[in-house]
Amino acid sequence: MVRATVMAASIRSTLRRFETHGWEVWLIPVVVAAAGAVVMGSTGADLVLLRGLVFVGGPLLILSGLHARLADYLHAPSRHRLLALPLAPDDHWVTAQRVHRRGLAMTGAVGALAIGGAALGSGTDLVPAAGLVGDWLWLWLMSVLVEPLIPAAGARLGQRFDEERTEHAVLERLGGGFTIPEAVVHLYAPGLVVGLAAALAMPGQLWLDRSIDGIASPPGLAIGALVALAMALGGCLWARRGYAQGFFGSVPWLHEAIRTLAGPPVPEPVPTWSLLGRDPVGHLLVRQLWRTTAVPGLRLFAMLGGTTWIALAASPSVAALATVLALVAVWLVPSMRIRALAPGRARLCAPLPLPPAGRAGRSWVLWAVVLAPVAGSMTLLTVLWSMNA
Amino acid sequence: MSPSPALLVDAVVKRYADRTILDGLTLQVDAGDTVVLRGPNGSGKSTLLGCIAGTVIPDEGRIALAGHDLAKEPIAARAALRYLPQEPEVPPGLGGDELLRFFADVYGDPAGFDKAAAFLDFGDALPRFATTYSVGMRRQLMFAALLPGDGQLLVLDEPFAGVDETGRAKIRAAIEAALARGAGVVIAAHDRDVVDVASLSPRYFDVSTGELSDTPGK
Repeated sequence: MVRATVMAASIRSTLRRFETHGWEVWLIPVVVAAAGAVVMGSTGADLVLLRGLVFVGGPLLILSGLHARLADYLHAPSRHRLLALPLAPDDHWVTAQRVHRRGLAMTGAVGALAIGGAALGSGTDLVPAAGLVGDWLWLWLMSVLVEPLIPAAGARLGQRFDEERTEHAVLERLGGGFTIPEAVVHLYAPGLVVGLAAALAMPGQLWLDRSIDGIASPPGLAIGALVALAMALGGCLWARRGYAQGFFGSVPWLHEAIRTLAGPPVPEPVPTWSLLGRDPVGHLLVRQLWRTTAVPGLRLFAMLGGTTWIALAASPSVAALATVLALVAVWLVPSMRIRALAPGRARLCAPLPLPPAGRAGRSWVLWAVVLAPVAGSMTLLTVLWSMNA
Repeated sequence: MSPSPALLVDAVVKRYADRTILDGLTLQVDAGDTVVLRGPNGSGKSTLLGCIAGTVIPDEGRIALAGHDLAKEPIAARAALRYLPQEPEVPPGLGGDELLRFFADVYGDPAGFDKAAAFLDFGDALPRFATTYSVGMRRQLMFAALLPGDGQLLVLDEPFAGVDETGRAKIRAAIEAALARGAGVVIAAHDRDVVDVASLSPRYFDVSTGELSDTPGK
């Protein structure tokens, strides 16, 4: 028994080393929390507005680092690579849980610091400020409990169902032909579960806010908060089993969907405007950017459209600037992934007849493509805002 | 010895989008048998191996390893399997010995580490980071990792690629030992590996046509 336990611990400690983790787990929540704090700090001490911002911004903060926290459960390459081994799903679960818990702890801490700091900084009294932090922590607790449902649902509903089964029909309809039915759950589960956490947190948050305001709460509110907590606990307890039930049947489908993007493995064409000049390494980098970034066109459109609208319609303020920064980050952050691919690129380019930068797998073309739209937006913003001033 | 075949592939179909890669393939590998998968590039050898290893799920059909249905008894089936992928990746930050111990633990045979280490005979190089090994050493390392326990089916995707003659002889000997104790062996091999596999008296399975024969063909 002791030997088996030691062996299981040894297996799990080695399993952790099959995956390396980057900055996503901590950087994204920190950026979002900082942006949220800037917005909250600019509201004055309006408690109603601050509570509204925590209510809306809390789930956004939870959502911001979600994929990075949960990727190890099903999406990580090592889950697929290790699939041929007789490892119990529980071993995979425990391995993934470490990163998940670390990410959650980080998110909880930066959220509490950002909200508490912003509230106190805006002149809110200590008790209402503590109430705001309490609202956040209650939501965070619900997320801690229900987030494991995301990989569990992903594993359980990410399997292939017979065509006559209801699950197959529902998943196929929800997919709308965009991806294979087995991958559809991965598109919907994160948003739905974060929504569930927000909904389950509401009774407790309301009860807390009313208590701080000195308003008596109906007993139903406290009971509702406890029922919500019990439901979240139930979900948490089921999640590990659900994951185990679907692990082997879902991971291959998910990786097939990732690899083929639900179609033949022919990549989407890269916009011709982005293939500047004749530098082959530059073209390679731009193609990598376009293909490894989720919805790159939508990100670019959001950044250009959003900043133009703000430049035209909004006056200079901390909130407007924070929104602009967030929109710019939406476009810029994926380009950091290209840096992570640098070693492989350098190995590829080193023996080629290229100038030194090219042999190192670098090119100015990438940065021109990435930064030119940002520079254009910032110039427009500066010009229009200075004209208004 | 298990009365069940080491591998049963029953009417397996695999499609990617509207392209059918495996079209109703059936293959049985009995204990002590070697089957070499043949077929040109892109004919579906790796897809078939992925289906057998459980890293690809077929659209239709059934696969059983040592009598264990891969879909219904995923862990029991995998306990019988020893799979060497075409491009085995070694994770950064692990020594060769640590990696061998990991596999020995996973296959439930911690003492099998010694057998695997003896097979490699890497000496002082064994505890070094596996990422610093040459291609041939990595291949041998990942092959050695399959030795602990009593695997009943060896599935090897180009096991001799990049390995020197001494290493090839060791791998051949280890496969022969596995066959002698009743394991089944499936090997994906290219023309250049035919000499290596010939000593195993294999049958040849053409993935494109689904036909078994005693000669390698073209």
